[in-house]
Amino acid sequence: MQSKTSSSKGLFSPALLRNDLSRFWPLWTLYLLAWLLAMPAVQLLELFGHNRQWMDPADLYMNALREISGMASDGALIMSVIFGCLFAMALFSYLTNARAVGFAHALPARREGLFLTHYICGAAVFFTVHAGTALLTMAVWAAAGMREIWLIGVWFLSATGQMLFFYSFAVFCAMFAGQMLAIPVFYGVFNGLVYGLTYLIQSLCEMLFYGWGYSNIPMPVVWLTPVAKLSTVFWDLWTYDELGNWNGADWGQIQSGLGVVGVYALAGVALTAAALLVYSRRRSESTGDTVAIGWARPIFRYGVGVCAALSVGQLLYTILRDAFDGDTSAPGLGACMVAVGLVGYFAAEMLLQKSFRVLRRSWKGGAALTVILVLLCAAFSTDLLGIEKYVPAVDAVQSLNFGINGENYISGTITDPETIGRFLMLHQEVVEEKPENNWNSDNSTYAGLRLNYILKSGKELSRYYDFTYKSGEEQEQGSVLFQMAALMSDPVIRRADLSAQFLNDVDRLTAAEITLYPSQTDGKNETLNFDADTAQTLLDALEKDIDAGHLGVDAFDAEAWSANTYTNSLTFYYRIKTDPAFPQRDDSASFDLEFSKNDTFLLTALEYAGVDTGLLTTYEQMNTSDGVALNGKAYEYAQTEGRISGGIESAEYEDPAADTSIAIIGGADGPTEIYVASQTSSADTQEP
Amino acid sequence: MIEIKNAVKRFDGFAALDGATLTVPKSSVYGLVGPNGAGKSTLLRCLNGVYKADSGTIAIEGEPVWEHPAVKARVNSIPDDWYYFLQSSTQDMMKLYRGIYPKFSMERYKKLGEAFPIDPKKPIRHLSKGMQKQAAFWLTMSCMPEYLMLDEPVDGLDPVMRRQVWSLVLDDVAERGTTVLVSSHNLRELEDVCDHVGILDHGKVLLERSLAQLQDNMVKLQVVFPDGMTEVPPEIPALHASKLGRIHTLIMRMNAQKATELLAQYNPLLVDAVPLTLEEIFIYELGGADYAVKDIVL
Repeated sequence: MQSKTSSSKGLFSPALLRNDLSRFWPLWTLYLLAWLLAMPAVQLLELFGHNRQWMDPADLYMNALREISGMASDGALIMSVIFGCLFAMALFSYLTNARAVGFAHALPARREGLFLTHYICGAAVFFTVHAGTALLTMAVWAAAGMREIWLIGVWFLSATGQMLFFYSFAVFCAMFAGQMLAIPVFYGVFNGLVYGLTYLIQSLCEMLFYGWGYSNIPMPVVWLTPVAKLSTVFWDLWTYDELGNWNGADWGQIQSGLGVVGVYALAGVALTAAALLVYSRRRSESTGDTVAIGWARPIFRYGVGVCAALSVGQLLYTILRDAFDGDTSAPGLGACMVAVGLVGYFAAEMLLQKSFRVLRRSWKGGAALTVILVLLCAAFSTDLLGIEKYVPAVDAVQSLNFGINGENYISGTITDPETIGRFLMLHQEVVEEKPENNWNSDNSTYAGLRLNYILKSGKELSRYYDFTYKSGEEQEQGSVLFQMAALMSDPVIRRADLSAQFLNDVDRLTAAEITLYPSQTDGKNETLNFDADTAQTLLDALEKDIDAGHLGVDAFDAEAWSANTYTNSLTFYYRIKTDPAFPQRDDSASFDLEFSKNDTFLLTALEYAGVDTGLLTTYEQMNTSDGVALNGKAYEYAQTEGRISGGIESAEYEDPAADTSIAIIGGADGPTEIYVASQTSSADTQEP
Repeated sequence: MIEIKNAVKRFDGFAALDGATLTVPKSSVYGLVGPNGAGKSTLLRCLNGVYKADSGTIAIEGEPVWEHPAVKARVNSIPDDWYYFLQSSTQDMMKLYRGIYPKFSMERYKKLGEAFPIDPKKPIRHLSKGMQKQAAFWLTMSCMPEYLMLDEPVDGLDPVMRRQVWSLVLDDVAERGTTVLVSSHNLRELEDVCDHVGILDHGKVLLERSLAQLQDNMVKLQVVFPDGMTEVPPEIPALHASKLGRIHTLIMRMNAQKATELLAQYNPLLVDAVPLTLEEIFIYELGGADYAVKDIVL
């Protein structure tokens, strides 16, 4: 005898489908209304409402495009994340009710038939809603004369692909849940689990590994965190010309975005197959259990324990460590992780057993978890895998992004093997010497070294070391600080720093300026402006100083640095290179250069340009009593930058005669006119 | 015919069915009785395809029930906790049953509407427990089942409706050859409707026979022994013995004639064989299986 299913195998039941459609109609209607409001209704109001009376048609057009683009990206993502879970909860909630399971599984249909019928119902609903929404939106756009109808197709594919994934993912989670509330909990946790665990493990590494630095989140982790990945795929669907005007669709972006959505849609299909497999083996009697699949229970039990140890355990340790002002201690961290891990483990066990009396039955598992966590902490703290001491071979490094922190900070990216080799030697020295951060020592000064290697294997290695040193240590041959000081003034490295900050972006220089602080006699600030050619001359002089190794020689000698470095900064104005990825950004920029008495080529060039270098003020001068007479603004600037210490009441240094203000009237090519005004003179105009 | 052979079903190590074996003949009404926790509901769920037995065979007409839609299409059940969708009316549930069960008869549904005084459009959750049970019978009997599994079927029904329901079931057995497996603690009622009985205890079937065989296999005797003989001789194999005045009441596992002959050698003043009720059989059989009413002083 045949059952009333599509086949004798009972793989689909139209009656059940109809029943699902009629039972959950409020949810389907809510989803439909949400999309109708977000898409055709909004478009109708925007394109035919009162905006039409006052808005420029081009702006209306662009608004409509942006809104649908937004719906294809963020809108589709948010709706899919929320409704994907709600759909799965509605259609598979019967698995969390013993009576309902008894009813459903007694029906003349195979488990596969029940699963597929419910699954198809959800998929059919969202597909129909999307299709209807797309058609209505197309009709509105067609009536409004919009030409980019294809964009609604992009929305349809994006929304359907994302919904397919999140719905399938939620269904997959539902297969493991024996209780209704467990479905959204599993769904939420699994959505962010990989990202969260990566962050927690990085955090643990930072505590236990000397010099561990946060790397960028690896691409597989981003892919395994669907919300993170999908939130970036349709960042901007449009191209712009050099003037920033809209220039049509960015098909590359659209194709790659749809490609990502397609990958997730395929993953959704795979998850559906996996969910079907799990369902066919799920036992009806597991209804009501927190985790309904037997083999998943140990994973849940130990998973909760490990996650609790990594998250709350670390947090507890950090709180206790900060409260007692102690240093990081592996045993202390291990103890906190074990304690919290056990709490998590037994809490999970209580959920599984539905009883508070779990200690006697599951103490062995708790002991196993303790051993695992202790071994984990021991392995980390003893650097069993050699992570802490690992320094890559020069041949293995493709590029290095460095940062060196002394009296000032430089950073940049280098690729030449020789310079990378010097950094690797320094890196090796640091991991062997392990200089510490110990502010209790006398004359401690802070130094930092950041190393981000991109390896030829495609992996990334990040390290960050910070420590303190005493004055004079930089002179000790072969010491870490000696090597850092040598790198700080190395022409290749200084050029990399300047390139990263400034030169890489320069299309052409447009002007430069320097502000001289008031002399003792007239008490006025004086800003000197230079044209593009002079600016280029100054930049050339700076590069000669770089090549001569003049920059950064005092980077680890606080006294010399203070005595030689000027508080007056030299500002270069320039037009930036047009970046196709950011066509609309401001096309002009400026760069403030801090320079010192060591930069002899630059000082000579400044003198040629008419600057009285005798008026330049060093930080040391600023710190002397003479500095009190300097302009308050300059003083405040220097104080803000941390270059001078001590507090001086504003009344002490304010000179009424120097009550001067500076106004710069500028354009894209830098300042065209600068007004220096004081109480005594109404205006003083200088041509650049 | 329903055949269950050595069925085992464990829950977290506990064997709810522990090698149960029983056979329900075609077109019979089979009463499944047993103490609480004996495994009756588990056995019915295995027969419905809800639970999968860990081992053993559960088959209907030689076909395994598990994941066999064609077999399950011939089986209907009314569990003790009959399920309906929360917002559904009897009519809504009828549409689902009609779509799923191939033999569902609208004609019968309409006819049964006269027997059950229920508003088909009223949400089932608004009906009383007894009326919900009536709705369950209404829908189930409309499916024209070949095999009917009932778990405490008349629990909550008033006496008139009980008769009505049993009448419908027995008519189906007589006219259509429906096979009925019914689990109940109401042994008095089972005695009226069952032609076969199986006793389940600790997941095993202790015995199964036709009701006539069962009643023939055990006898209750009222005996008055001659003067000077105050106790039942120990060599008499009595399952249970009690005394009121000079009258001894003995329960013996043998037919009445054999028991009378056995007692005749003691020259009793009176021997009277009385047939046992199903309830007495149940009690004395399970008394042998260490399940009896205990005298507890509170």
